[in-house]
Amino acid sequence: MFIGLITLFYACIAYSQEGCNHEDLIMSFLQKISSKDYFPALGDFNTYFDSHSEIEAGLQDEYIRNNPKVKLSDDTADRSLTLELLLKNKTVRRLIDLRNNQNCKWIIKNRYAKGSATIIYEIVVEGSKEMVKIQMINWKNKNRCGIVDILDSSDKSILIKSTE
Amino acid sequence: MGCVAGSTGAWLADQGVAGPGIGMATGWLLNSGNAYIRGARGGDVIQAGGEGALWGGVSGFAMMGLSPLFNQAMNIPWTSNYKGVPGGNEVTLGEWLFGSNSSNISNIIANQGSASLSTIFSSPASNLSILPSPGPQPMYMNSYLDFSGELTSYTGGRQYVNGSLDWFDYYSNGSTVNRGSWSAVSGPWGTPITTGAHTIQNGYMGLNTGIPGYMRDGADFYIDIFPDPSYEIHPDGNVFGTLGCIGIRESGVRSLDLYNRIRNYARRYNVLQLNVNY
Repeated sequence: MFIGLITLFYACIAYSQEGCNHEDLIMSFLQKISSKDYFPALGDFNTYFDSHSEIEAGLQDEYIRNNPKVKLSDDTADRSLTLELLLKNKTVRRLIDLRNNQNCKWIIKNRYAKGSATIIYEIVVEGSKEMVKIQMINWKNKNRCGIVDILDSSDKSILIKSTE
Repeated sequence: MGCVAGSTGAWLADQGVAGPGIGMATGWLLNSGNAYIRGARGGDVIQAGGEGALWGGVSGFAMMGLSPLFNQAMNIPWTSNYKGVPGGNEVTLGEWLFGSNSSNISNIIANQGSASLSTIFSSPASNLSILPSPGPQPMYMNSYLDFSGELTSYTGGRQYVNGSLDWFDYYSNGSTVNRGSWSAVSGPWGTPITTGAHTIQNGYMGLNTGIPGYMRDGADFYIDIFPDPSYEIHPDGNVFGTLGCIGIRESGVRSLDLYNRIRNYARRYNVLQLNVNY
């Protein structure tokens, strides 16, 4: 019965990902950000993150408040503060370096549901014990697909600074 | 210590609906065991109303002396468990006839010394519907939500609606009663929800999404807004504001109270109207 429930759970996950292949999207995202001389572009944020994500907007707002004279554009070629913040994270940086220097692969180690509308994927690089977690929106009735948050191994958000 | 029955009889006679017999009957009935009601005045028996009142009062006085024996013999029900007087053990005729709701009648009489029927039936404490009332009572028709506020400037040239989501009950006479208000915003990270009529539908809502932007003080839910369910009502978690959804900026308890109200209404009536004005 337990095995049956597990099978049913994964069957439900597979069904709910129709039109939004989480694993393909995650792998594409990881390849993108770990490519050499990668520039964290706003267009990439728009491609890989949930369309309802407020993360970029929140970071832009904070940036503008701290730098009133600077103007940020919505140009997709402009930099994404979200991706910039992600690449500054030490764990993410080490995993990218390991992947690039030793030609190791990104691996999805595990996945599990968080709430009724998201799935968390545990990401490692071959040969490393360090991990990051990518939380994906999983809303089968809505046309939404993408990352809603990226967490460290202790479930603390890497991207969302302020929580209310 | 006076005679309530006399005043009641006087009132009935004054309204032209009571003769001496009725006055006597009311005096007899209402006075049987209730002679101690505070504030009652002996002068009531000679109020305008003439004979009916007088007869009522006189008969009431007469029955005062006989009522204990009579009550004991007949086991009259309104002579037990009276709540109007601390420690009292009697109920009024009104209580006996109409049940616990009408027990307020005895309190009205007790507080005022006497009370006309119009006073009794127009009192908010009185919930009598089987007798004539001063006017038709408005009937509850339905409920609706109203999101209204001010379009407010934000950083980066953005705008958002800063307002509240209010729950209204609508009645048959056209009146509305506000049953709750929740602080809410729409925007500034996207275009605020459009003004006009929207709906919420049964089955298109849920708890525990797990989405950071939907979590606030322990509350985590979504409620789709039609005709475009890409707009939702949800707690305003994460950074301030929304992409255009209605973000509830309240405590977890109050946010969940709103969710439960909407869910329960939608389950019962299927559709809840949502009006947006700003």
